Amino acid sequence: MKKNWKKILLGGVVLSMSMLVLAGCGSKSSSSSSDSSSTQNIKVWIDTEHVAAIKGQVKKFEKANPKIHVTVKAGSSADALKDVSKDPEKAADVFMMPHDQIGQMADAGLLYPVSKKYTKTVKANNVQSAIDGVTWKNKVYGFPYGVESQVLYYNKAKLSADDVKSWDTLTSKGKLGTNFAEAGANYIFTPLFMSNGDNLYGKNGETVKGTNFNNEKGIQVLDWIAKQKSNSGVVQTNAAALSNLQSGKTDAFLSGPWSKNDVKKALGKNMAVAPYPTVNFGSGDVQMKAFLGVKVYGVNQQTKSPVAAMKLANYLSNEATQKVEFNKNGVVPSNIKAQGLQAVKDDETAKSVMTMSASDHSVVMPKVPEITNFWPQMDSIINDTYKGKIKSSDYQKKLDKVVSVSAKKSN
Amino acid sequence: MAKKEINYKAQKKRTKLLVYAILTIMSVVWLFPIVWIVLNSFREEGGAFVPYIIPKHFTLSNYAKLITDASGNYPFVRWFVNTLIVSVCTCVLSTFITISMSYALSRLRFKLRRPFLKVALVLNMFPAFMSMIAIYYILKALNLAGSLLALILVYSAGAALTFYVAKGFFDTIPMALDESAMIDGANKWQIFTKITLPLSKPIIVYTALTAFMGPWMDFIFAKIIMGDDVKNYTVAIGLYSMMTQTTANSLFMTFTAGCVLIAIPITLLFIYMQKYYVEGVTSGAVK
Amino acid sequence: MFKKYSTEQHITFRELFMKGGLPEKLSFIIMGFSNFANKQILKGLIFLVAEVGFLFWLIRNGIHALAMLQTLGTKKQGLVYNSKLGMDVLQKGDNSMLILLFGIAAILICIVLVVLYIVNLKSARHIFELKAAGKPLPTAKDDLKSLLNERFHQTLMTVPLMGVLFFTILPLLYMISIAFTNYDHNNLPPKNLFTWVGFHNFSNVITGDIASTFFPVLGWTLVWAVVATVSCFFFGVILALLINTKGIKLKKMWRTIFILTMAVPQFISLLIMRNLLNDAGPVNAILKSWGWISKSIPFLTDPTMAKFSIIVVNLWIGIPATMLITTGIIQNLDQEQIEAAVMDGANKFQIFRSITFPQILFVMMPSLIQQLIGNINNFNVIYLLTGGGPTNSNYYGAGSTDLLVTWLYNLTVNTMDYNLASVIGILIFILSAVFSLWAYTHTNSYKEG
Repeated sequence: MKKNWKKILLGGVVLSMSMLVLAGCGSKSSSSSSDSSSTQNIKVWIDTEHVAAIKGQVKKFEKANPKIHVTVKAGSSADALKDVSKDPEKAADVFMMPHDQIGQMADAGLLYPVSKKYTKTVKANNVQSAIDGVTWKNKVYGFPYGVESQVLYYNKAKLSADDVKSWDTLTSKGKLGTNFAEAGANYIFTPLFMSNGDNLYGKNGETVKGTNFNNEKGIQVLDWIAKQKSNSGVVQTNAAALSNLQSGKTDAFLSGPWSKNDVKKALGKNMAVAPYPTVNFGSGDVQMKAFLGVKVYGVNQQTKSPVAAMKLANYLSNEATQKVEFNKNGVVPSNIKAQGLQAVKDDETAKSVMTMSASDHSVVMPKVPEITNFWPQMDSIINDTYKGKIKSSDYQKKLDKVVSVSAKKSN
Repeated sequence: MAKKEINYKAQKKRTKLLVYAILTIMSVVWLFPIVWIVLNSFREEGGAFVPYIIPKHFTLSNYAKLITDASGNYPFVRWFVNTLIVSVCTCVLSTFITISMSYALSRLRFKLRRPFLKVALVLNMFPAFMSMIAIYYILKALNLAGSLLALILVYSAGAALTFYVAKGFFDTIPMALDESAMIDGANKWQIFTKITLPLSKPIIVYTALTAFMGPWMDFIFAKIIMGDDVKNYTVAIGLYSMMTQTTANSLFMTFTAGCVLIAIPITLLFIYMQKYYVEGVTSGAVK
Repeated sequence: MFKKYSTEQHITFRELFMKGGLPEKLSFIIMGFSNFANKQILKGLIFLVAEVGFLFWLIRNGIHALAMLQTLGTKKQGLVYNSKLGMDVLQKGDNSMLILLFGIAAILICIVLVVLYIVNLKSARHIFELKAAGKPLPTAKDDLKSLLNERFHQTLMTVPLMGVLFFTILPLLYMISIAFTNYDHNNLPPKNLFTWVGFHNFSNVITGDIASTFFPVLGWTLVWAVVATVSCFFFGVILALLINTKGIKLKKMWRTIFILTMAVPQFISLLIMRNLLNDAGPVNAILKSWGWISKSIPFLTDPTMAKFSIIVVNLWIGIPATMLITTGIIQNLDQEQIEAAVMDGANKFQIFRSITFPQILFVMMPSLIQQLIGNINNFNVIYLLTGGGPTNSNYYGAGSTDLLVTWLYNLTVNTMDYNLASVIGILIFILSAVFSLWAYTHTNSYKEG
């Protein structure tokens, strides 16, 4: 048997390659300097639709801070957790994200807590609900730049402002296109439980064992959802909501400020906006609630230049930028002063969102990490209840399961 | 007798008509989605969902939007070039690798050949999602993450385990050819290059075609490697990134235009090469 | 001629050490020494460089990487207040995930070196034996030459196998290891460390509360894989027979029509199908406008209907490939055999049943098995068409149409329970591996290889 010449070669190559791998890994774990003398490079992830608006603001920021160089890249705020956790070192220094990912991202060490100085700024300039949204375990983890909640868009030609004040008149006089039966129903209809007095993760939204849907009131809500199946004023619509609105198949639609321009396209001058109606679960009219979301700039904990990154995040969430975002993308400001601008006050959608953002109209979306267990469970229960797949005698059992799953720490 | 003949003929004609009818119906079903994509790419009005098939207004602006990249976020031409580079390189490398592997495993005899065949069979059966993150970090350690080279490397590395079809083909070439050449004093390298390869055109084309098409279709793994490097995206990641929740409605027609543009070269290639493709797959066991 | 396995007797390494001279003895410590002593400079150099490089790496990174593997890290990432900057500053800690990955890489490197070390000893022994027999030693040129002949397989396979080692085996080992850790949404790096937990996750999946999701999903995965594979095969063969019916004109055109669909990337055709079959999509719209239905058919939103739709859409994707291959087989059929059968009075159906079909089955068997395995792992169709939906209140993190593999994807991307995902991955792996090895050893089509 001859010697394996080639195996030797192979071994050599493999060894050197592997050493490259390991050397590469070894040398990474070194510095995280916050050197402020030379030029600092900051990368920021912006939702594609917002890139144009933000680029202008970034230019102004760079002019004011010549030592900071900012690269704007298109990102996806909804995937912030996924994208940042894949490789925090390569992720952006500053990124857009929804506030409900703050809990999980902070616990995983992906978010930089906002420094004392900026914490004061954030608290001084924003509405309370936005501050609640970015606070996690008594620390502020992000810079709010907008609030959003679902509102009721409707067709003025078919429904009057009085008609849309209660669910019953709304669905008896017109047709509401909404989604009970498909994925995503959890976002729209979970707050029904809170409308009826139940809690999701406690009153503050941070108590892991604070969900109490499995009571009398919770069953009332499921009963009500099951009844909507036979309500001819409720049309199950998901992806086609906008085209249904346009074709006149439906007259109203629950969605957030992000749909404003699309609805305008669909309804033209007949577009009207209102806060959510009241709803009757059997014991009198109560305000139908929605989830309140806060749009946030997060700072990556692994950033090489935390000072510069926070400066930028602060700039991108200040009054001036919020004004630009409102004008160009319809983002409803979280900044108190920006909310007071005449243009914002005159905007019907913004006005409704601002009404909705008060605590009697909405619930700040909880940010406990355990909510990832809760979502799919809730989604399927709303879907199945609406479709009549769950017997009313099983409601208690299903809600018990939701509550136990929602508090599950680990598997 | 004559009557029977006529009956037989009539029946044959009926059968033929029936076959034509079935084929026509099936063709319509198969072509419908494709025609619909093409029609959508010329549609001017509406969003992702419209309750009709034929657009009310035809336009070329979807294509124009794609090619000029007015928004600066979707550099389609660049993506197209990237994909072309990746797929050509992958095609060359993986064809080389697959053919080498399958030839060695089919024609040469060495220790551990049979165990290796079995191990290779099952190695690819692990769901790839979590290994993707691992591969990403390996590439990052090699300083390659986010580059086209990384894609080429990974796609080609995968080719080492996809040798079964080609091996089946080589198995059918008679050993006698090799033996007579060896008697004439040829070494194995010469047998491989001068005798086996010239006989293997169908399988080479098949392998190359399969390898070439891969990069046009992969949207998950490529995205993990590329991350936020939009300029290095391939068309598959790029087009898929247009279909996020917030953009799906407004960019749907642009998306279909992109689909048409990438389907054209692959379709042409496929139609042109289908003869070899069939031979490559079947000849392994037919002869 | 091809079976030249060495049958000669070698002395053991212990004998080599006892009997050999200084160069042989030193080869046990300094790799390649015997080659140097016998003027095989190049070869000796490669051994030596490998050893020195390895030791250098071992001291610099290797020992650390291997030692960390035991605990997967002990130092947590933290924030320390820096009064100069007026803010917290990051103190990096250990990253369990990277420790695990590169620890496994380090083990692989050690294995490679052990292999090299044995090769080195064999080389020393070979030199020793040749010299004892009084034969000339091969020169570097001889060695290179043999790479194109006796050891041609090494020339062909080395580079590809390197790729396999780094891009398939290493990630695979990493993935398998995760199943034995508590890498879930409560222990996400970089801030948190995760550690070894033994078989805890397995018992959780098989008997714990995850089991109520696992077994139904497994059931649907198997049903789907079998139905999808068999239906594509069956209808593909029928289509090929139709096109190849005697007297049908424009055969090539018909074929091309169906082949068109193979050339459209799957993610496109599936996204389009999803749109077409939407409750508000064109298909429902047309049926309504024709007055065939009054309410939208819930193609993808009703659990049973969705399963059915998925299988039908999969037919759309899968039939052309089978058709193409079957056509190739039909055209290559032994015509004499068929004519002989006709002479004997066999009708068309009999010919099909006893000649055509067995041949098709024989040729297609390996690809059918591959398709079956592929369907067990068919991510695209489910993910792009229904995303696993519609939701199912009885499951944990899965929908009614989720396969094991898409559920696994959800677990990594949405709930970030990597450990559970890995367990499911291992179970899928065992399932497919056992099946395909069984098929490999029990079907005729594989036997000749």
